[in-house]
Amino acid sequence: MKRSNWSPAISELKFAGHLIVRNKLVLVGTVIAVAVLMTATFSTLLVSPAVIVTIDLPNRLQPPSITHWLGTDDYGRDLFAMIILSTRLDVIAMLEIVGAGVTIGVTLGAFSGFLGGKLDEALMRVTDIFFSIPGLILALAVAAALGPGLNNLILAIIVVQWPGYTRILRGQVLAEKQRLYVDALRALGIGKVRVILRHIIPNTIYPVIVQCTLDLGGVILTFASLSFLGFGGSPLTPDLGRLITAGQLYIFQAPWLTAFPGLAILIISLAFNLMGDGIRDVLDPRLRR
Amino acid sequence: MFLLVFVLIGVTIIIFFLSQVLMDPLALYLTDKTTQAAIPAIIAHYHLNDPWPIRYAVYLSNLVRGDWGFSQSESEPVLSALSQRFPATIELTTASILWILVIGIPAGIISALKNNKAPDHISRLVALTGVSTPVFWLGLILQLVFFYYFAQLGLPHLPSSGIYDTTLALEYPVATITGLPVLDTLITGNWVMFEDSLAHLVLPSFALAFVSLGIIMRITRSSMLEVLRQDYIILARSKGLPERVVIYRHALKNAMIPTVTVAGLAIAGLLGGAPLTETVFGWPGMGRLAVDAIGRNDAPLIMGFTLITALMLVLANLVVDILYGYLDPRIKY
Amino acid sequence: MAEESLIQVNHVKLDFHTYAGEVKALDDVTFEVRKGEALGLVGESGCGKSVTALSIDGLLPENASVTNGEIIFAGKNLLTIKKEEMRKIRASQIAMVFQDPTTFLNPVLTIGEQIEEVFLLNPEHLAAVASRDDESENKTISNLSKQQQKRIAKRLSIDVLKQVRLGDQDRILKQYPHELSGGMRQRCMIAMALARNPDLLIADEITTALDVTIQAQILELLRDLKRDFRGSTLLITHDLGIVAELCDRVAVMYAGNIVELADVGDLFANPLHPYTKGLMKAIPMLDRRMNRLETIQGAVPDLINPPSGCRFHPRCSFALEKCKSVKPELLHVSNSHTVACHLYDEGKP
Repeated sequence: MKRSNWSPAISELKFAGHLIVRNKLVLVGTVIAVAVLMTATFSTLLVSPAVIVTIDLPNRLQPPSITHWLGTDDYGRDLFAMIILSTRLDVIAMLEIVGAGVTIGVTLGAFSGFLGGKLDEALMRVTDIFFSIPGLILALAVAAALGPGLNNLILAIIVVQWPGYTRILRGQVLAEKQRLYVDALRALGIGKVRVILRHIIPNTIYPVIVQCTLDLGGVILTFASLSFLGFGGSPLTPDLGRLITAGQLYIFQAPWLTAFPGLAILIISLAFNLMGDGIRDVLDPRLRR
Repeated sequence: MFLLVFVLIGVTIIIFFLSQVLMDPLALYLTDKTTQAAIPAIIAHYHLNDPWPIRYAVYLSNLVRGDWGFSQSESEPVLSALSQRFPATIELTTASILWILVIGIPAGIISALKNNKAPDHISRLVALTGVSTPVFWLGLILQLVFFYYFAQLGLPHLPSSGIYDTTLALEYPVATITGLPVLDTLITGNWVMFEDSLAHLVLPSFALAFVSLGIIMRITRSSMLEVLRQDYIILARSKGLPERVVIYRHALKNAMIPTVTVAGLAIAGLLGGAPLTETVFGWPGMGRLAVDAIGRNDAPLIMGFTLITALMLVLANLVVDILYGYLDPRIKY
Repeated sequence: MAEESLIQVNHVKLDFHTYAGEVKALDDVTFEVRKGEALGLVGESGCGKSVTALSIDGLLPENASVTNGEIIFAGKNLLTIKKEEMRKIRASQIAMVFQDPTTFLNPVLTIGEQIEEVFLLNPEHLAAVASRDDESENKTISNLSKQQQKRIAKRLSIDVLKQVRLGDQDRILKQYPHELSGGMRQRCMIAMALARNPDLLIADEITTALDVTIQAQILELLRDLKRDFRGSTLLITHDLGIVAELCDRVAVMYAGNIVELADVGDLFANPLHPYTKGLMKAIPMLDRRMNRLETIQGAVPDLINPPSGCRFHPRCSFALEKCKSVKPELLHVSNSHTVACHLYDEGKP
C-alpha cells in the first residue's frame, strides 16, 4: 500500500508499543492467562485424571516436598495434580458463563438499543431489577432454586452476568445508531436485523470485549465462591473452590491445602484482570493521554 | 421514587418465580407443626392452586404483611429468623465500609498525587490483587496468620470466629440495645467486652472490605487524575491558592463524584461477600444463616435472605443517589 | 522619557515533550510589558501566545521545559524562583483570566466561594479594610476571626462584581457556574482577577469562546475597566480589532517567535513584517472597497520539525536566500518599532 507519509502510522505503533512495554505487568498477566488456558486444555495430558480416585492413605496430609510439590490432601492425593485437574473445570465454567452471558447480552442489547421503544424501556427496567440484587446472592438463590449440579450453577451465574453486557452494548448501540452510515444502509433498503447483525454489532463490540476479559477474572471468583459453599460439581469432578472446602477442615494442620488452591484462583483471576486492563488501554489509547 | 418501588416489586417477582414456580410452593409455608390434615387449608389460604397472577398477588401482600414463610431448619418464621441476625450483618458491613473510607479513598488520592511513583505502584498492585482475591480464601488465610500463627509465635493474636467471646460475656454480660455488640458495649461502658467485640470484628470486616477497597482505590485514583487535568484546577492555581487548598477544596469534591457512583457497586460487593465472610468467621449474621440453609435445603430462608439484601441494596443506592446530588449541584431531582 | 518596565521576557525558549516528538513551541520570545500599559500579543492559534502566558504565570504542564531565557519581574526570574514564591506572586501581583469560562470555573463551588477565596488568601488586607471601616475606634485591627474575615470577603466580592457590571450580586454569589450565562461567567472570572488588584493582568483570549454579541459586551467592560485599572495588561488575542481598541503597544507572534513589536498606531499604519502585512490585508475594512480577502499562503508550520532560519520563510512572498538559514533578530527600525526580518537588516545584504 502506497503511503505518502508513514509517520502517523509509525507514531501510532510507537504509542501502542509504549503502552505495552510500560505496563510490563499487563504483559505478564497476558502470558499467565494464556498459560492457564493451555493448562486447562491439556490438563489431562499433564496429569493423569486417575489421581482423583487414587487413595494413598499413608501419605496423607504431607507438607510440600520434592515428591509432592504442593503437598498432599487427606486422601494422600498430590495437591499439585489436583489443582491442575481442577483448573480445567474452573476455566471451562468461566468460558461458558462469560460466553453465554455475552451472547445473550449482546443480542438483547443490540436489538433493544437499535429498535428502541417500549420494549427497550421494559428491558432496561428488567436489568435495573437484576442489578438490585447483589450478584453473588442472586446466583446463590437461582442455584438453590434450580437444584444441585454443575450445569445449574453455571446457569445461575449466567443469569447474573447477562444484564451487564446488555447495558454496555445498548449504550454503545444508542450512540452508534446516530451515525450517518446507519441511515444510508436503511435508505438502501437493508433490513433492520441485517443492519444490526452485520454492521452495528461489529462496530460496538469493543467495550464488551474489554469487559469480557475483566469478567473472566471476576466470574471465576463467583464460581469458586459458590462451589466453596457447596454448589456445583461433585467429588469426582473437583474444582478449585471445592478443594478449599475440603482443605479448610485441616486448615491449621495442613494449611497448604487451603492456601495453594486459593492462590491458584487468585493468580488466574489476576492474570485475566491484567489482560483485560491491557486490552482496554490498547483499544482506547486516545482517552488515556 | 417510583422507580424504587418498581424495582422492589420486580425483585419480588424474581423471587416469587424462583421459589414458587421453580420450587415447590408449598414448602414456603410448611412449618414443623403442620399436620397432613392442615395442608389443604394452607393451600387454600395462600391460593396455591390458583393461576399465577393471583398467587403472586397473594404472595406479595403476604410479604408486605410480614409473612415471609416459615423456616424449617430454624423452626421459626423466616422474617423473624432474619431480623435476629440482621444487626450482626449490619455491624460487619458497616465496619467494612469504614475500612474502605479510611483506607480506600486516601490511598486513591495519594496514588493520584504521586502518580507513577512508588506509592502509586504499590496501591495499584494492592487494588488489583483485591479484585482478584476470593473473599472466603482471604478470610481463611487471615485466620491462619493472625490467629493461628501469631498464637504459635506467642504474639498477641486476634480471635478467629464469633462476634464476641461468649464465655467472657458470662462475666460481663452484653446488653442488647442496638443489637450491635460494639455499640452496645460502648454505650453501657462495658470496656472488657468492647475490646473483645472490636477484636472479633477486625479480621472479618477487613476480609470483606478488601475486594471493594481495591475498586474504590482505583476509581478514586483515576477520577482524581482526571480532575487534576481540568481547566478549573489551572484557574485555582493561578489564583495563588496553596496546593493543599487546590487539592482538597477544588479537586476532591469533583473527584468524589465518580467514586460515589461506584459506591453502589461496592456495597453490592460487600453484601454479596457477607455470606462467605460470615461463614468463614462463624459470624452470627444473616449471611451465615442463608449458607447454613443451603445445606439444610431450607429454601424459604434463602429466598427471604435474597429479598432482604435486595432491599438493603436498593436503600443503599438511594443514599448514594442523594449523596451524589449533594456533591454535584448540576443534578436536580 | 523611558517608561518603566514591569516585566521582561528575554529570549525564552520552550519545548514540549510528547510521544510524537519534541514540540519546539517557543523559539525566542522577547518582549516587555511596561507599567500602566496594555500590551497586545497577537498571532494565529498555535503560535505560542497562551504558552507564553502560562510561562509567565508559572502554570506550565509537566512535559514542558524551558531551555533558555528568563522572565524578570520585580527583580526576580520567574522561571527559576521557588514554587512558594511564585504562588505568592500569583496571589497578589499577577492575575490571569482564561479563555473558556465554562471549563475554567469549578462546577461544584458557588461563584461566591470562588471569589471569596481570593480575598481570604490575604488576611492582612481584610484587616486593613476592617480598620478603615471602624473609624470610631481608629485602631488597626490585626486579628480578625474567621467569621469576620468571611463577612468582609463577601462584601469585597460584591464590590468586585459591581466593578464588572454585574447586578444582583447577592444572588450571583450563591449561584453555581452552570446557572449563569457565558458572558456572566466570564465577568466573574475577570472579577476574580481584579480581586487581587494585580500589577499585571493577563487576559488569554478572553472573548474567543463567547458568541459575538457577548464579545462586544465584554469588550465594552474592558474599555471601562481600562480607565480605572492602575496595573498593566497583557492582552492575548488573535483579533486585531480588540488590539486596535484596547492596546497601547502590540507584539506580533508567529510560530514561537516575536516578529514585530510596535505602538499600536504604528503597527496598523506601517506594518513591516510580511506576516503582519498579511494579517492586515486579511481584515475586511469597512471604509475600503475590497473584492477578495487576501490570505496568507501556506499553513502554520509543524513545530516538531520547524522550518530552518526564519520560521515564516516558506510562506513569505518576500523571502530572501538568507531567510532559509539564518534566523532574524528583533532589531529597532525606530524608537518604538522593532521587527525580526532580514528585509530590515539595515545595510546588511
